[in-house]
Amino acid sequence: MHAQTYNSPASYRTITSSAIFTSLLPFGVYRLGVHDGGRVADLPLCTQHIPRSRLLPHLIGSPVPTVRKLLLSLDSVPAAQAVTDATHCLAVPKMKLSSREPKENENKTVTTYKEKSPSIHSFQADTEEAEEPNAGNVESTPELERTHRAAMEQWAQLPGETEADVTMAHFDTEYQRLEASYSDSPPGEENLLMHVPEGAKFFLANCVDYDILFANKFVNHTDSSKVTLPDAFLPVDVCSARIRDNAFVIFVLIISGVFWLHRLVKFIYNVCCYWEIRSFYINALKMTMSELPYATWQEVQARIVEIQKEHQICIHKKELTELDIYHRILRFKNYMVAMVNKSLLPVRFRPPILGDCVFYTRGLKYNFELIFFWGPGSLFENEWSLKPEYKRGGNRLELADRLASRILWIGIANLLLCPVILVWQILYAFFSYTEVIKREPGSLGARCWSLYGRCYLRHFNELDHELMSRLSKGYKAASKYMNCFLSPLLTVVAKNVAFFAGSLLAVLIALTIYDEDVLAVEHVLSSVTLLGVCITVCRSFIPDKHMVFCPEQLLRVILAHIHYMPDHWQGNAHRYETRDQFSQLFQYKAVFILEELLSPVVTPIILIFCLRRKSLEIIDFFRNFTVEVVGVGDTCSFAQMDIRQHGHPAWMSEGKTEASIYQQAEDGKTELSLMHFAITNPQWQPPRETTHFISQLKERVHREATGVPSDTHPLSLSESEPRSLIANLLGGPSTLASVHFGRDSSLANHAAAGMSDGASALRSLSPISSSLHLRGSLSAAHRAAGHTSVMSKALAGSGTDARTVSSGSSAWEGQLTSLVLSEYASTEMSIHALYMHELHKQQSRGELSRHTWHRQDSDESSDSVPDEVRSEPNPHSRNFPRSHTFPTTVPSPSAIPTSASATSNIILGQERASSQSSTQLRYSGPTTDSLGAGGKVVRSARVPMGGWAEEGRHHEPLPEESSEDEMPPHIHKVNAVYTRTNILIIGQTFVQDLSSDMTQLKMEKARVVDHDPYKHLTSEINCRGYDLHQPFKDPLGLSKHA
Amino acid sequence: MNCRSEVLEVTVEARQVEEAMLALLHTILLHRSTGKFHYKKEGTYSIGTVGTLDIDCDFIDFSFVRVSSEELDRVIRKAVSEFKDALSNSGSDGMGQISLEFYQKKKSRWPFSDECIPWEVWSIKVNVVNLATEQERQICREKVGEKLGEKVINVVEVINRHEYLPKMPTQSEVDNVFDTSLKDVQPYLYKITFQITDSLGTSVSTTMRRLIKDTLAL
Repeated sequence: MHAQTYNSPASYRTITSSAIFTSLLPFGVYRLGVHDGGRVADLPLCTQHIPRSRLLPHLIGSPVPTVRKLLLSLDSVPAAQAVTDATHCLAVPKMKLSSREPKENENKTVTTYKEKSPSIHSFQADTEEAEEPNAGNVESTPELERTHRAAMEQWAQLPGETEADVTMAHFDTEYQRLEASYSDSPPGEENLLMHVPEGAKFFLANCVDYDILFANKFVNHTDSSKVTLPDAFLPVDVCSARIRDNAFVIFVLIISGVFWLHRLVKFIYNVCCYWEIRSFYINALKMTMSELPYATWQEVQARIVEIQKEHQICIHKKELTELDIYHRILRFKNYMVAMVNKSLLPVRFRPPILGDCVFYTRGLKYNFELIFFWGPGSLFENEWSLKPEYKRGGNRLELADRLASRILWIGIANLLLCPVILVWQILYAFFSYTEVIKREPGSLGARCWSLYGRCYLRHFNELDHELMSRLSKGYKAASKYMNCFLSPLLTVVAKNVAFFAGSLLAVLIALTIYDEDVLAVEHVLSSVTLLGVCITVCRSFIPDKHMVFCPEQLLRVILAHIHYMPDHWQGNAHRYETRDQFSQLFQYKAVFILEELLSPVVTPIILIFCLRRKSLEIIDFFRNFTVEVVGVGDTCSFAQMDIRQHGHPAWMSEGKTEASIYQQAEDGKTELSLMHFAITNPQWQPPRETTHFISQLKERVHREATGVPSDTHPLSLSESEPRSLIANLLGGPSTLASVHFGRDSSLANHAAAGMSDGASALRSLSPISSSLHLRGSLSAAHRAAGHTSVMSKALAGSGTDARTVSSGSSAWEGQLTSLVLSEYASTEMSIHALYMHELHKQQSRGELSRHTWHRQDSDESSDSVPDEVRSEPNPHSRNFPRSHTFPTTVPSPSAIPTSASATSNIILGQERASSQSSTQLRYSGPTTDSLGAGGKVVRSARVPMGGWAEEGRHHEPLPEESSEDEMPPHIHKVNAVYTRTNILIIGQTFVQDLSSDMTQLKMEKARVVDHDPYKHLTSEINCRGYDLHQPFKDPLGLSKHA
Repeated sequence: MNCRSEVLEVTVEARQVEEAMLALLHTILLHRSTGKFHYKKEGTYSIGTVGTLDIDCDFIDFSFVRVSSEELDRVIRKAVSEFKDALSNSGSDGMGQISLEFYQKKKSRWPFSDECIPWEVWSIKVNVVNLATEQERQICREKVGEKLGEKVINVVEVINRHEYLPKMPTQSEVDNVFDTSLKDVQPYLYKITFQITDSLGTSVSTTMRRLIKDTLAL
C-alpha cells in the first residue's frame, strides 16, 4: 500500500544491476544477520519523496513479509535508492535495530542457509559473537569478513529473494556502518554530520593508518574481534606532526574549516528563516503547518491578498494584486531574465576551438548580482529602489565609467580570491557529488537544465517552483530528444566495449557463484565494480532498441513545456545545430559540474574583459527599463508585461505594440509571459488593453483546440506518449467537415438542434479532455476526467438545455482541488505556447513568403516549383527572423528537407491546421506580397542601446488584420470562466457559436479553405516533406478566394 | 519600500536654520499627536485634550502653531540644535537633511531587539546660503517666511489625505504605536535623524548583511 506513494523519478531508472551495488560496497564490516530480522523495514522507506511523518507510523512495527513484498513491488533500483536515502534521512529507528528482538527470525534464515552452504555454521557463530561482544572469542578479521561475504552471496542465491532484497540487505549493512561511525551523535544533527567529512578529508589523508584499514596488518585486540575505526587512526602527535610539515594541507584545512563553519551558520540561518516564515504562516495567514504541504501557491497568495484588506501589509494601496506580490518576490530575477532576453549579459562566447558556447555558472551569477543589485556601490540603493542618479540620463557616461571601474575591481578581487574559491568549489563538488555518483553512477550521464536555460526559459514573473515544475515536465521528452542523436561510431564502440566488459563480468560472477572465495581474492571486487561502471557508461551510448527517430515531434512536446525556443529550431529539429543549441539549455550533469569547477578561473576573465565593455549598455538598460510602481518600488518594466510597451509585432501583438526594436522583448517573451501569468493567476485583473489581448488569444486558441476531433488522428493515438496528443492537438489535420455540417444543420433549426449539437460536440471533445488529464500525474486528475465523461454522457443522453452545463459547472468546480486547476493551467499554457509559436511561425513566414519562395536552393524540392517563380533571386532570403539570443546561422526552416516520414506527416498536419488558423489573416489582407522585408531588416540591425527616443517605430504595420473584428463580442464573458474549467466552457462556447451568425460566417470561410482546390496539391508536397505550403498559395492567387 | 516618504526643501540663512526646522517639525508633529489616552474598564478609552501655542519667529517673518507641551518642545529643540551645530561645523557647502520618521514597533523575542517599522518619513532638505548685505537679509527674511507658509500648507494637505495610519491600539499595545513617555501629549512614535552631506549610498552595514545573507543562500 505504500508502494503507490513511492513516486520513483525517471532518472533513477537509468541504472543498474545489483552487481554494482554489491561491488560498490567497500571494505565494510558486514553484520548482516543482526538486523535482517523483524524491523528492517523501519528505515528504508523514508525517502525524499514521502514525508517521513506520513510513512513512519505505518511502517514501524510492520512485519517482514509485508515489507519484503513491498520492496519487491518496487523496482530494484528505486528500492536501493530508498535504502540509501534512508541512510541520509534521519536516523530514525536506530534503537529498533537492536539485536535482541529479531533473533528468532534470523535463526530461521540461517537454517535456510544450512541447506545451501556448508560454511554456514561459522556464519551463525559469528553473528552470535557480534551480538555478544563479551563472548571473548578472538578471530582474525579478514576471515570473519570473508565468511560474511560468503553468507551474503548465499543470501543472494536464495530462491525467491530478488535483487530488491539483496540490495536492501547490502544497504542495510552500509547503514550500519554509517551509524557505527556516528553512533554517539544525537538525533537531529544529521545535517551537521553530513558535513563532517569536509574537514575529515585531511584527517583521512594524514591521520589514518591505511595498513590497518586495508587489513595488511593485524591488530591485537583482546576484547573484540573487530577492527574498530579508532584503531585505524594514528596517534594525535604523529598526525599533527604530519600536518605541520605541509603548508598546503594547512591552507586546505583552514578553508575546509571555514567551509564547515559556513555550513553550520547556514544551517542555523535556515532554521531561523524557517521559523520566521512559519510564524508568518501561522499568525498572519492562519495556516497550520500540517495543511501547508497540501496548499498550493495560489491558495497562499489568495490569503495574502485577503489579509491585505485586514492588516494593510502594503500601506500604499488598499488592495494588493497578484502582480504586486510577484514583483516583490521576483524583482531582481525579472531583471536578470530581461537582461538575458536582451542578450545584455555576456554569457555566450565563441572560443576558437569549442565554437558557440554558453558559460553561465553560479559563481558568475553571484557576481552579476553583486555588481547590479546589492554589492557595495551597486546600482540599487536598497532592496527596492534604484539609485536616483541612475534614473536620470544626464551623466550616463560618467556613471558607465564608474560602473566599469567597479566591475574591474570586483574582477580583480575575484582573481585574487581565485585559489580559495577554486579549492572551495572542488571541496564542495567532491563532497556533494561523490556520494551521488557512488549511489547512481548514471547520474553523470543524466542531464539537467542549465543555469542559462533556466534564465532563457523563464517567463517574467514566474516563481521558482512554477519554472521547475514546468521544466521537470519537459525533462523526459528533452532527454529523449537528446538521446536521438547518438553517434553511430560511438554506438559501435560502446557496444563492443560493453560486450567485452560484460563477458568478463559474467565470468567473474559465475566464478563467484561457484565459489564465493573468489571474491576474497584481491582486486576481484574492485574489478567487478569497475566493469559494472564501465557497462553502465557504455549503455548510455547505445540507443534504445524501441526508440523511433522523430525529433520534430519531440521538440514540439518539449516546446509545450518549456514555452520558448528560437525560431530556427522549428523544422530543424533533426539537425545537429539544433541539438547543440538545445544542449546549451539542457546540459550533461557532468558538464555542469565541470563548469562549476572552472568557474572561479573563468569568472574574473569574463568580468574584466566582457562585462566591463558593456557598462554603458547596462546603465542604459537600467535607466530605460525601470519603472517605479507604487507600493512595489522599482521594477523591471518588462515584468509589467505590457504589450503596448514591450510587445513584439511578430508575436501577435501586431498593431498593439508601440515598442521600438530596443524595447521589444525577444522570442515573444512579453506575450508568452503575459499568457502564462494570466493563466496561472485567473483572479488577476489586467489592464483593459491587456485583457483584450488575452481574451482574444484565448478565444483563438480555443477555437483551434476544439476544432480538431482527436480520434481522426490515428498517428497521435497510436503514440504511447499521451503528451503527443497535446502536441498534435493543434497540429492535427483540420477534418472538420462533420462538425461543420452539424453546424449547418443547426443553422436551419437553431433552437432545437442547438442543444444536441452542443452536447455531441462536448462528447466528441471528451477524448481530448481526458488526454489532457493523462498529462497530469495526479490521480485526482483522473477523477476529474471521470467526471467529464460522465457529464458528457449525461448531456448526450438527456439533451438538456446547455445552460445546465454552466450551472452544473460551479458544483463540479467545487469538487476540483486547486491542484487540479493548476494542472489545467499548465496544460492550457502548453496549448497556448504551442499555438503562439505556430502563429508566429506563420506570421514570420508570411512576411518572408517571397524570400523563402525565391530562394536559390539546390534542393530537389525546387523541381516541384514552377520555374518562373524561381527566377528572381533575392538577397534577403537569409533574413529569417531569428532571436538575438541564438544568433547562429542555420538555414531557414523551409530550406531544409525534412527526412523522417513521421516528421513530414506532422508537418503536414501542422500546415493544414495552421492554414486554417491563419485564414483570417490571409483572407482579410490579400496583399501579402507587399510585405517587405522592412521589418526584418531593421530587426537584424541592432539599434545601439541608447535609449527610448532615438528609434521610432520601424515596423511597417503588416497589412494583415489583427482579426479583432472577427471576435464575437460575447466571447469575452466566456473567457473569464474558461480559465477555470476547460471542458465545460468548450461546450459553452459551442452553444454560443451556434447562436452567433458571425461565427457561422467565419466557419464558412474556414470551410472554403478546407475545400480549396489546391489542397491536395499542397498536401502532396507536404507529404514529401517540403515546407512549401505558404509560398505556394499566394503566387497562385489563392487568397482571392475570400 | 513600504512607507510613505515626503520631501520638503528649504533654502535658508544660517541663523534661520533652527527656527525653520522647528516650524516644520512642530507643524508635522502637531498633526501627528493626540491627547493622552485614558483607558477605562471595558476596553474603552477617553482622549485628553491637546493645547496649542502660537510661536513667532525671530529671524523669519513667520508664526507657527505647535503643541503646547514643553517636554516635546525640549526634545525637538535638542535634536534641531544638534543638527544646526553639525551643519555649521561641517563648514562645506551647507547642505543637510533632517528627517522625521514615524514608526511602529513590533515586539520580538528575547535575544533580538524590537523591530521598528516606519510608515511615514518626512525629509527636510536644507540648503544654507550666506548673504552679504543687510538688504538681502531683509528680502530673505520675507521670502523664507512665504516659503515656510507654503510648506505648512503642503504638510496639511498631505496629512489630510486618507492614507494609511496605524490602527488605534489596545491598552497593551499602545506603546507600539504611540510615544507615551510625555505627560501631556501623545504623538505617534517618531524618530529624528539627520545627515549632513550625501551619504555614500549603500551603507557598509547593509552591504555586509546582504553579503552574508546571499552567501548563506547559495
